Amino acid sequence: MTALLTRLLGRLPVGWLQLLHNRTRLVAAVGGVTFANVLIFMQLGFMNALFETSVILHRSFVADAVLVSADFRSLREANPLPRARLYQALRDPAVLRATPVYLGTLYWTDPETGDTTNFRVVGVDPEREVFALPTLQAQLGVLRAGDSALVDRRARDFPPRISRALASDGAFTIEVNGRELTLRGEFVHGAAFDIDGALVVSDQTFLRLFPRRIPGAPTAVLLGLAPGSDPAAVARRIEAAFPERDARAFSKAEWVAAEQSYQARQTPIGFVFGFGVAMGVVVGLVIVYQVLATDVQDHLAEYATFKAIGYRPRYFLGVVFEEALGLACFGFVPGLLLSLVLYRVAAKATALPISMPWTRPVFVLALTASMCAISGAIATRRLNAADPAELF
Amino acid sequence: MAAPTVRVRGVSHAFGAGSTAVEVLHGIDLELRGGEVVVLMGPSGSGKTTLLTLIGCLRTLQQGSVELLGEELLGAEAETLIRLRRRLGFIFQAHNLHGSLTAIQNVRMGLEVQGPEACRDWRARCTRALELVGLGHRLDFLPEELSGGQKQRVAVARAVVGDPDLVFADEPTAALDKDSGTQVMQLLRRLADRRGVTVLIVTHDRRILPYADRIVRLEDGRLVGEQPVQARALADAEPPGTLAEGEVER
Repeated sequence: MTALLTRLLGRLPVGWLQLLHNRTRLVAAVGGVTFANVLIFMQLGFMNALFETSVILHRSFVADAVLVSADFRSLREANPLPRARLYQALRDPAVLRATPVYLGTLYWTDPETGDTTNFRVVGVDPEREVFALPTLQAQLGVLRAGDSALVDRRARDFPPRISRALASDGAFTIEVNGRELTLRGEFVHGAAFDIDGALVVSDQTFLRLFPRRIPGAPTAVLLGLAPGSDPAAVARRIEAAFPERDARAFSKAEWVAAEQSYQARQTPIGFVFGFGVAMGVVVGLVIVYQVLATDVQDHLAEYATFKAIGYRPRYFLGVVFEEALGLACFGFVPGLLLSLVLYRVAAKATALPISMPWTRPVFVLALTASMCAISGAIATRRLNAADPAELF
Repeated sequence: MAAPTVRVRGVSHAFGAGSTAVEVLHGIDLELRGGEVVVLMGPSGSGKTTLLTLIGCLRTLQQGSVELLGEELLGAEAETLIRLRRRLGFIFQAHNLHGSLTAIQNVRMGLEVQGPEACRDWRARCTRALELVGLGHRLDFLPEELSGGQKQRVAVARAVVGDPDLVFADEPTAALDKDSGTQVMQLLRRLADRRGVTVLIVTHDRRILPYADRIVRLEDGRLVGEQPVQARALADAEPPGTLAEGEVER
């Protein structure tokens, strides 16, 4: 390794040799970098889970564009829009289909455990194509029977006895909002930060569960467009045709982006995780700076000797960068492995989809490397200013 | 007589600033020539090391003039100082070896500073330098595995491996026993005689005196006298040659 680095750098890898020489310090420093890495990975994981889970439902719809009320910020608090907008949209030649969807939230308390689950209830016309999930779409037919529902198997703390009952009897009855609701099948959706799971019912059942909602006011309208049309352009065109400005049209991609941007900017939770990432970076910076500064301090006499025989300040920066990069890489590998384990633990505990896209390790490694390099640059400042004779 | 490699004119130096400033050198004039071994003696605190570090580009010159290898040090650019330092060899009071590098790697540091060209056959050159100080059998030892005297000799090898024009030594024999001290002094003497290297040594060690051409005495920051050395010990009667050709103690 030393020979390889010598060849690569065109000089002795002094930083590398220095790093390996003091093993105790190396272990402590690597531990620090690992810790900072885990911190950053976890915050990014949670932040990403927030963004992903907030749009699972959006993505599961079959739609090229959507209509929502003009004050749309997030599906969770979306207001209904007049059904008339659906017919207006259909007047556009590019719009082939328009499907109303009703959304609401209700609480179900499990009589056996006393646990309360908050379900996002999605009311759809069982005859229409609504969901992109084939298993879910295929089961919509059972909802034609009134007071029936399909339940999210990945809901947080979903009681396994319901799964068992559905597998053996094909039905399980629960009581919500003072009505009996028969669960007739399962699908996979997953929890979000503010929702424990999803429940799909027919539009008729939805209106019975939420008596204050009226059939003339769905929460969203899914639009199917003619092949080859530009969803964003069609959305602008439809929106321009709404004189009352009480509804907005989005392409599906814009809709997802609007929801995520709301989660990132307007909700405290997006800020909290962003802040957590920043804290991880600061902690890492402090640890690495501490290690490198101590190291420079300990080798001041040697560096002064090198300076005395004609080495340039740039040379010392190179040595410290070499150490910094070594630390970044040494700390990154255990940090990544530990984070993968913790992701699993956290995903299991929260029912959130916490996963590791390949871009994230690249991002974190780049972040760690630059954080280490900055610390290194700060640590050599004292060395550059002084006369060699003052450093002995 | 060889041309002067160092010309010191009216050099004064003070530590501290304002009313608390203490002047440690007062109007020093001194000339060193190629091939000369000059010993700088004097009591502690007389300013010997300060003078050495000023001439050796290790300390910023405040007043007076130092011409080193034809270049003025007063107000010199950082680049000039770096270029000059590369033509000097330093042997410090403390060995200042890098603890994470082996003996031969430490010596290589003295070569690497000259650029990639000098490093081409570095192993051979560094080995030769270490053999010259009697450490040919300790090439891959870390400093912590060497005795104090051996460490000091590695430092000597590091100072001479780059074929310097001048060698500055601050108490080079303080940590050495009689034999290694003699060995190091013979090496420096030979560098002066055969390669025309100027050697300036700060020392209290009277055993060094027979190897010197001149002794310069410093007291309270002033030169108080200069004397030539009468009975100079000759470096062993070895055939002439350059360091690069390999003068090996056997």
